[in-house]
Amino acid sequence: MNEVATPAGLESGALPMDTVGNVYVESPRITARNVDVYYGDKKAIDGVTLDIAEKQVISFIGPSGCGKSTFLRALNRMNDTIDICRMEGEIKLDGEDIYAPHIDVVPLRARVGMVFQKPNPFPKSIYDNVAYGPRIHGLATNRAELDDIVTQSLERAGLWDEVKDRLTQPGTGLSGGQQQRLCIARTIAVSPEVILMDEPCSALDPIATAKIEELIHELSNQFTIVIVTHSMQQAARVSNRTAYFHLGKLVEVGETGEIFSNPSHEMTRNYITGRFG
Amino acid sequence: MQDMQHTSSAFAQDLADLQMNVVRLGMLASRQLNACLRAMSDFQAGQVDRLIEQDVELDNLQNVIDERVLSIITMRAPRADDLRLVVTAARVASDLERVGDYARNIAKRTSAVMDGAGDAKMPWDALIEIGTLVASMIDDVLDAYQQGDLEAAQAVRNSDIHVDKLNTGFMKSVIKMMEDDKVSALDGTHLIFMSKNLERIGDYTTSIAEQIHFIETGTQPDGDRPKADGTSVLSSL
Repeated sequence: MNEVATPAGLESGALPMDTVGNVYVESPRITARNVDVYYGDKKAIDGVTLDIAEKQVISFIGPSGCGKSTFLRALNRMNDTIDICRMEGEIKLDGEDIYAPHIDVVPLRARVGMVFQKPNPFPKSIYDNVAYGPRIHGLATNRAELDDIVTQSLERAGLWDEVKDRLTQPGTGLSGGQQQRLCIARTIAVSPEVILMDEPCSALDPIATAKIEELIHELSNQFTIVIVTHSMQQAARVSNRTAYFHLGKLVEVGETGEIFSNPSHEMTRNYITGRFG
Repeated sequence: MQDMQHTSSAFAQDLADLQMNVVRLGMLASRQLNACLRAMSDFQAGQVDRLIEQDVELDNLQNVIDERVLSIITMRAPRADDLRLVVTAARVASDLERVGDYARNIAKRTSAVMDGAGDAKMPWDALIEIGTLVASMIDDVLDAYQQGDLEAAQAVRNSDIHVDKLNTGFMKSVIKMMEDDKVSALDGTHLIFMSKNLERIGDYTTSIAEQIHFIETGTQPDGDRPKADGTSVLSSL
């Protein structure tokens, strides 16, 4: 029995389990081993070990405050921006420790891109939103190459046909769903290996959500995708594997169909069937 | 399963209502079969006419269950054991409706044999023995369904082999009676079909027991279903 410190807003409790299910995969893109994340004295992530497979979609689910977003943000060191946050354990991308002292977080975050809950296009043109990353990372040597990257990124994000005639107009003028796809285009423009998505559809209507989910499905042919979602239907629709977090622990991980039809752990079952009190 | 309350009480009520309707359907099917057995026991062919008319109740209730299953899937998006309970309800209801159909067929044949047999002595007791065993299996499987009782469901599954043996023995004895001219070919055929129908009801009841296993565990029961139906390979008495 491991005593678990309490994430903000949740009552404390002793969790009796290790992770149920196979946390390891054959060809992992990311490996996390015994990861603890603290906010000051509070332990928000407790001993999480998990492989993230190449060119697969894995969903993180769990109640608010369970640590799923914290763990997601640990995968590209976004937590570094929070002064009181510290991480213990090991996270490797393609075998390289991303928390090693020599690692520069700027190229790391290009390799492990992120799409946030609320679409956050830059106050720039549609073109410049997508071109921004390739420019600062020096991915294009001339305008023609940059044009190609912008066009391909918008096409892969399923947005090209809708914006090809107004590339100079502000990205902020697009609808919410289009803005989110613009942010995805911006993310894939720098050719990441992994895309992290933190509730990418929570601010979108069902049609826009369906388009993003279709996009996730298509992008999974090229990218490794990790998605945090409160929508269990969405997790069931888009992901190959699903991981259930509770009070900072990884309770269960497994094939998505198995998790939603026949979860092994009682806590997973209670959560996905709506019995979480 | 730990009986933790649903956050949505309306969803919990939907599941409870669905399960209750399945049990009601089972009770109707059980009533049909038991009434048939009473008619055999009392030699009252007139008792079965009402049963034949009541079959429509089972059909209607099965339709209600099918509609509720679709509604819950659409409205509630059930998962895990809730999903298994909902999906399985449709299958269990279908099995029970078939039980009712077989009971109705037995009722018709009971009436036909009683009307036409005259003074001939029919092996009603042997048929009632099979029917009583099958009727108790239905009652037991409905209890197991309500309670989520795996052990009771397994016991029902194991009982089916006795029904198979009784049916095989009954068929042999009726054929012998036909050979000895103790019953007519027509009556004998009716009797064999009645016994076979009881054996099929046993199979459907066993299927329900297996569905209970699936609801509770998410897996099918281990091993092949115990079988002892020798009628299909019968080459001599």
